[in-house]
Amino acid sequence: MVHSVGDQETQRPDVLLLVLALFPASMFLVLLYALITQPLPWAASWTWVPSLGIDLTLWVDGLAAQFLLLITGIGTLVLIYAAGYLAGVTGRARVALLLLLFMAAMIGAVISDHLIVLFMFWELTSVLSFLLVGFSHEQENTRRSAQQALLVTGLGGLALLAGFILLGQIAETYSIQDLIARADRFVGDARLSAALLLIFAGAFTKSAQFPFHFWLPNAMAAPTPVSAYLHSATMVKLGIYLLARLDAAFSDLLLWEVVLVAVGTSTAVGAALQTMRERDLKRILAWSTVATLGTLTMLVGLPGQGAALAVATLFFAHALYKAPLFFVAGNLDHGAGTRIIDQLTGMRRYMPWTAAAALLAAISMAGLPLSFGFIAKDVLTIAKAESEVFKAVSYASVFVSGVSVAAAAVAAIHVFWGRDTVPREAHPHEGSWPMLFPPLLLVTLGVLFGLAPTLVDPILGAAARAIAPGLDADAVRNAYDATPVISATLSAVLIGVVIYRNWDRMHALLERAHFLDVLGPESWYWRKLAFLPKLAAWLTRRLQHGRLPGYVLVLIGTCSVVLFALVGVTWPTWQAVEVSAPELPVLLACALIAAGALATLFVRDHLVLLLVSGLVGYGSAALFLFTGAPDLAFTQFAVETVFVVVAATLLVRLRRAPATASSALREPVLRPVALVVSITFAVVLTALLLFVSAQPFDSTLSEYFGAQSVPAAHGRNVVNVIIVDFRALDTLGEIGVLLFALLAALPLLRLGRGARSEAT
Amino acid sequence: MMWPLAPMLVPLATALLCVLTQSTPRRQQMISVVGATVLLITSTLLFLEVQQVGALRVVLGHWPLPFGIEFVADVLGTALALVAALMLNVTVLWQWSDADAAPSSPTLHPLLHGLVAGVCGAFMTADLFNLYVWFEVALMCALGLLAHGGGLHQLDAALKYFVLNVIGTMLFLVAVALIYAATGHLNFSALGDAMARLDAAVALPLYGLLLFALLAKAAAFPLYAWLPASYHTLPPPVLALFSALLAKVGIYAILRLFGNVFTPAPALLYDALGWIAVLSMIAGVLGAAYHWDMRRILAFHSISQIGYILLAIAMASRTGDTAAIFFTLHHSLVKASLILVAALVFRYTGHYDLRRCGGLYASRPWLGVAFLLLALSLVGIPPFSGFWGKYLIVREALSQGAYLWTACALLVSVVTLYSMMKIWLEAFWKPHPDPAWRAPEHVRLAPAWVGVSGLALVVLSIGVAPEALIGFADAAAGALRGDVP
Repeated sequence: MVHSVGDQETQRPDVLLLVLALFPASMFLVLLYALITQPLPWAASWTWVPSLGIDLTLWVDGLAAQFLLLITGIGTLVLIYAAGYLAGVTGRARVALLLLLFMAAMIGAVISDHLIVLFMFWELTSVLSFLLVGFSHEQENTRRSAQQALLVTGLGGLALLAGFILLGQIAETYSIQDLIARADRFVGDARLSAALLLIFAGAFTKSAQFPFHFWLPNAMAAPTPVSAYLHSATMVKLGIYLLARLDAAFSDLLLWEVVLVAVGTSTAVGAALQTMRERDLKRILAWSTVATLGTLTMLVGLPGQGAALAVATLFFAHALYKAPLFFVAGNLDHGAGTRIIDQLTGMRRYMPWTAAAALLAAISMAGLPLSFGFIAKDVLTIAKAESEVFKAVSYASVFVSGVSVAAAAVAAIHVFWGRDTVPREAHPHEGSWPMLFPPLLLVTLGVLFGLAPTLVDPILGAAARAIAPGLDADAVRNAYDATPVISATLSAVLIGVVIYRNWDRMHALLERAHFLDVLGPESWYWRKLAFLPKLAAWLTRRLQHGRLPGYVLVLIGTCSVVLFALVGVTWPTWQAVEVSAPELPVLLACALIAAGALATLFVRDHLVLLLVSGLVGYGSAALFLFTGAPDLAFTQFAVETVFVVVAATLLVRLRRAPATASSALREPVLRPVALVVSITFAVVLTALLLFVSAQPFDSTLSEYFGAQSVPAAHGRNVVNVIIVDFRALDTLGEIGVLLFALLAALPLLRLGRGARSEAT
Repeated sequence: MMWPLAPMLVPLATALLCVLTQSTPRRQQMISVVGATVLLITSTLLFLEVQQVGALRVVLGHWPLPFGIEFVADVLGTALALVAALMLNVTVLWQWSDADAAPSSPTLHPLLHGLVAGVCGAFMTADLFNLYVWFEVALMCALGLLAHGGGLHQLDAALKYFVLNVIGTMLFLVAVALIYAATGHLNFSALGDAMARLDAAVALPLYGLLLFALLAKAAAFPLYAWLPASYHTLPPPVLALFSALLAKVGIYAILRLFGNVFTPAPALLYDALGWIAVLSMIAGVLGAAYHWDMRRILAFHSISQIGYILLAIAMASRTGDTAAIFFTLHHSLVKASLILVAALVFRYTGHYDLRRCGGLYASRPWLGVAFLLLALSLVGIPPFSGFWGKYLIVREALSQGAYLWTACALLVSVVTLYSMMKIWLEAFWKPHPDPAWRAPEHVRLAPAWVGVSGLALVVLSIGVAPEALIGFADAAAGALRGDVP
């Protein structure tokens, strides 16, 4: 609910939104003119990302043209409506901007011939829908609904991406028209079923098909103009559009027919049942939209040419009656302050124009004669008769039509006729002209096209021919004369009247049917969504527990396992390697190193620890001494001594300051796992070292350095020449390391000094 | 002639000058800005030059190969150096704003430039031991920057970072030593030939150890603990620099060594890399889904995104390498920008913890636009930049029949969407939990905004006109694989 009742101050229409409506309006007119003067299809192409083979290819045939008319036409009316409905509401400019962006994305989606470009616009519509649904984002409920819509359609979108790429790889083209042209060449490919199932997942999430349908009624948290536009007239039909687009290529496949008919029918039946469980007019309309989308999916799946015509006609008819009904719901919300049908009766007295629009739209929705809905029902009946569907599908279809009649009656009769018995604070009021003009225009068009279907015959025929090439052009006119529709309409109206008379009883019965909630995919969605943070928490707490010893254990442990495996794999080669035993002095030096390293584990005093670790350095120096590098050995001795002396001095100075965060060192603990890991690590690494160094050594480098040291580098000490000339850059880097280490240590030293000055 | 050295020498010299001017902070900051600008100009020029004439090579001291240390500025290296220069400029610029900046201290600027010097040295060198040296330079500077705040949790982070990274670097050193012992070479091209001649059974463990050490550097599963343990303690501008550069050095080294120097490496390694990549993606994204602190969320996302890059490398094909290069460049920019946006969120709402911020969509819509654009890029929603990287990876994985990896990559991107949406819902859509809260009005954020919007524009332009970067990445991948047109 956006407005409070009787908020007369905000009744003046918003000029900005009316001006913005001129954009889609002019596009609509240009489009109409072009359709009359230029023969379809229109094609054009620009290169975009040539290295990925992605071109902006435009392809407008009858199907695209029908969508373009709906997008721009209804888009204009939605903006006009919003100018009244959102007048004086903060954030209306933002909504208008998002609506225009959404319109652009929709246009892009229906005119793109390249699968990936189509996908791009497809995803954009999902994102923009998220932003639009979240209009009243201060409410927790709205945020959850927006999140749900985006997660469900986003998940489907990724399946769609995978499906498109797979399809593109199978067909060796990403152009939809090429794909249709060469369909017979690749329909036997084993991967095609997987690709199609992925594409189904994408289309079903977008068009709210079972089991992904639940997000759509929740998306009714959006403001009414948004619901009318996105969640009834355009975006949710994008999935059906895609299926209809690809129908020409795959309609002969059994998978295509079975999945679409089964899913479409079960969606329609399920949604019809859910319709009767609602009391909120907008949610009733939402469920009946889902039912229509199910019927459309089923029709795309049906073989035969009549089905293609039925898809095109129902698309058109649905937009003409459902959008006005949403506007009606918005007017009620705006004028009477509620959308709950129990509190809405006899509204005709306060809102006569809205009542007229509701009645005419409802007649079309119920498929009664003299409305365009009747034509749609007619074509639909013929399509089903033509393709000999299962009896179950036929019965389901009659039931769905019946519920649709009842829902139409609720929206038009229950709400507007009868006596207003509900006590109210203020009188409900009629909407301003921008809120009346759009629904009245649409229902008038509905009546007009119902009386003279030849007016829309060209566009519907062209759309149907785009879905099923080679279709008979006069199909709509022929269909109008058919007789089976009379019996179909009669039975639907009969069922509808029974349901309408017993609406409250049915509602009470179904409301108690909680198994529909528990079994429904929506509860599954919430369970999964609640499961995700739990899983995330569980895993993250285990992997990122904050204890350094654990991290080190994982690092060293994984390394040991990897090396163990790799050495194990190549073990037969290693066995042949002869490893010579080291000489005694070398062994002694190694023992010194090992002793120093081991001792660090057991010493607690920092100063002693430092001295003991000095043993490691002295050991290495001894090792250098006995392996033919005496000068290096002396350097190492000197460095080690200086290091220990300097570090000890520092430690002694720091010690005067109170001890800070060094208590972790105080408690040596024996960790059995760590012991095993470190022994394994040491053994594996040593083995690898021994084996590799036992390989013949290519001494080109050292020989060159030895030979060139004096003549070319003018230095007698090869090691020095290597350091300052041959590999001077390494030395530069190491000097950098020293400098930066000092800079890194500065704050630590300052910390110590600061602590000391505090202490004194 | 010495051009390839410039991206390393300029920041090193700037660092030195900054050390010398420690006592006059104003002068130091001027030098820092000038140095960063000079670096940006030189690396741009170098990048353009290399684009035109191909890789530039220089051997230090004019020693013949393979005896001297060689520096090679090729398309990949210069592009990464350019990103490093760009990020350094943004970081230095940020220091001028009122946004959550690093506490100024005399060691900050030298360490920033030193980090970039180390990273750029690693991008340019063609010598395995020299690569180790630059790793060490970067490691030391990173340690200094982590400890720089001096708080207790910063020291804790620095300790974890240091210990884990030193182990990784030591393992790398052991691998270098073993490879030298087995081949007698350090120069990349000589090494490539020598390793190819080596007995496969000897080579395999060496490759394995080398890859392992680099994976620890690159923060891959299960060796990534250092990254989320330390990143969130950094001030945002430094964090942006870290996330753009630090793990990327490891990635770069893997790409260079296993996509260029040692090709073809044993297939077993690439398979293992693929699984590691998938596990990194999953563990990273779940970590992000778990946390509420924006900095932690973004840090964990880095692991997940590193998984994507590794998966691309594991494809071991030209397209795979193209994807990896594209993703690396894109991610450096996007992640850094997101961190800066998070810093602005912090500046406006006073918290990094999502549970305690809110109300920004109404009061700061442009920040919302910037975040949305960047977040959608990170998730990979078309036509934003991340999509193209994801598309390349998924397409290549599907064409190689790696269906399971593809499925994981796609599912992970749904969870990425979920966690980015979490930031949006909490920080932007939710009303601020404190009803008395008002966004601060008079704060000097212009330099911060210049940085964020500049990066966001770059990201946006990559998204709508991806051909330039994809074409470039493809050329770089071709150069790596040696099939230059």
